[in-house]
Amino acid sequence: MLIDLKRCIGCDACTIACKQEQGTPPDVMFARVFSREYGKFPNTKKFFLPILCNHCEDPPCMKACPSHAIQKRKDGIVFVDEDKCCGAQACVSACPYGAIYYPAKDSIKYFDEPTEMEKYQFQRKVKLPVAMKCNFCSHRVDSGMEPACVVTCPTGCRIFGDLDNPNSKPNVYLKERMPQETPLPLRPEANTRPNVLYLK
Amino acid sequence: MSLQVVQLDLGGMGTFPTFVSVSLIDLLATVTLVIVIIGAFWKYLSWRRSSPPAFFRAARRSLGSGGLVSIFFSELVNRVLLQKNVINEDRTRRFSHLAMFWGFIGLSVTTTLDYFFNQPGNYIPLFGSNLSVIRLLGNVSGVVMLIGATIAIARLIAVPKFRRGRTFGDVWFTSLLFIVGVTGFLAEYYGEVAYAANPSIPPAAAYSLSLSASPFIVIPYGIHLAAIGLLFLSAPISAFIHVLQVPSMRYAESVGAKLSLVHGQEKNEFRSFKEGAMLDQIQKSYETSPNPSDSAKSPEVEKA
Repeated sequence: MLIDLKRCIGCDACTIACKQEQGTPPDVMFARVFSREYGKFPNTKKFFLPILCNHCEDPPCMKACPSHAIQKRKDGIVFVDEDKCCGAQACVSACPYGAIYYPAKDSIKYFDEPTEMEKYQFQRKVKLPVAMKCNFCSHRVDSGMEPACVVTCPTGCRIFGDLDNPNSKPNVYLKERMPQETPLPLRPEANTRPNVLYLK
Repeated sequence: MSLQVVQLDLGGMGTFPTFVSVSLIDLLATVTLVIVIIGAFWKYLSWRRSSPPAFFRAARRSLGSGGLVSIFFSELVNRVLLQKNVINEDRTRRFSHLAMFWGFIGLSVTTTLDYFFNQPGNYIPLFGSNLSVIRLLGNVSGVVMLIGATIAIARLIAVPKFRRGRTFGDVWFTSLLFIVGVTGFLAEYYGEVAYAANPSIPPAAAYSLSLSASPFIVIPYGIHLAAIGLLFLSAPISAFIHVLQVPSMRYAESVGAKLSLVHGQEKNEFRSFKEGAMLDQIQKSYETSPNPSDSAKSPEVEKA
């Protein structure tokens, strides 16, 4: 995934779309958007930074999981096999992007009674709590659709596709609009080789 | 089946401790320990690279060294020794994990006590008036560890979800624990038989690695020692490393949670520091090489 930071307006539509699609519990947000202002008045600037799981080539969460519940698909999507998660929570700490959540046992739903959406989501899960993370909406990707955050973004700042394919949307976007720009990985010092890259 | 009783003629070579040199065993153990430490340190460094750089400095400033130490001990007792909130719903898994853990700890304590308070290789009667606490602890721990390892292996073989997800490291680690337990008891049993048949043999002989000893003792005991060596040598690449890795990672999260409490934040500060590191990186990239199109409107905005 390519994220063009110039296009992000910090509307949090991706955050809401993700929550609706994934039905995540309170305080669990796979697609977060942060903002920062810097500089001294009057020369101040502000930017928004959408963050999600980077689906790293070398995922530290996968290495840290003692029960091998975090796995990688052939297409590079890193996901949690909820059935195998033993609750060690090492992945939460291992992720350099803070993209893995382990909700507290008493906060897996918003109200005393689960909402219809939550009921639907609970049916899918083997047990809760388990480690949770963005799976690039793999169920949508498998049906030939794009992740919910991508289709919802009103400015189209998220461009989804196979980074290895030169004709994929991200590569075409790069070639056509920003041929001289090199996309940035987040926290390169972590040496995780992320598959979510940023254009500034 | 007749058991060939130990025929250990040490002659001028002294007793067992000098026959199989204790110094050699100590040297091998030291080499193994160094390898384990290097492996664990390498793992730590790779995790350290991905943890936010200023986090522990900030934690020390806010919580003090005493605070960090107190969290360490709280984690050690609750998460490591009692294993609270470590394994979720699966009770069988929790039981087998606890059994392997406490069995292993018990055996480590037994070996350490034996090293300090008993001449290496000396025979201590298992039964009789002088019941040895060391041997009792060793046997109980061995049984507990063996039960845990047996359940773990059985699940890796028979339960589909574990069979699907198992790795060579898992099978290696649990199998070695199992082998250590079984061969330990086998060596002990034949040692007991040998000693009972001929109480006049030198105390050390019952557990010697002498080639003139009974193969019933030599083979299990040799495999036992080799398996222990392999268990530690392969620790950095097998499932063994999780003994250090998982608690240390959970420690960072707990420090973050405590820090959030002190600062009145809802979010775990460890996560906040990670987010801060990413924002810092992007800010720095803007400051060092400002975007030329910053001042100009993008074509899409212009069009709109």
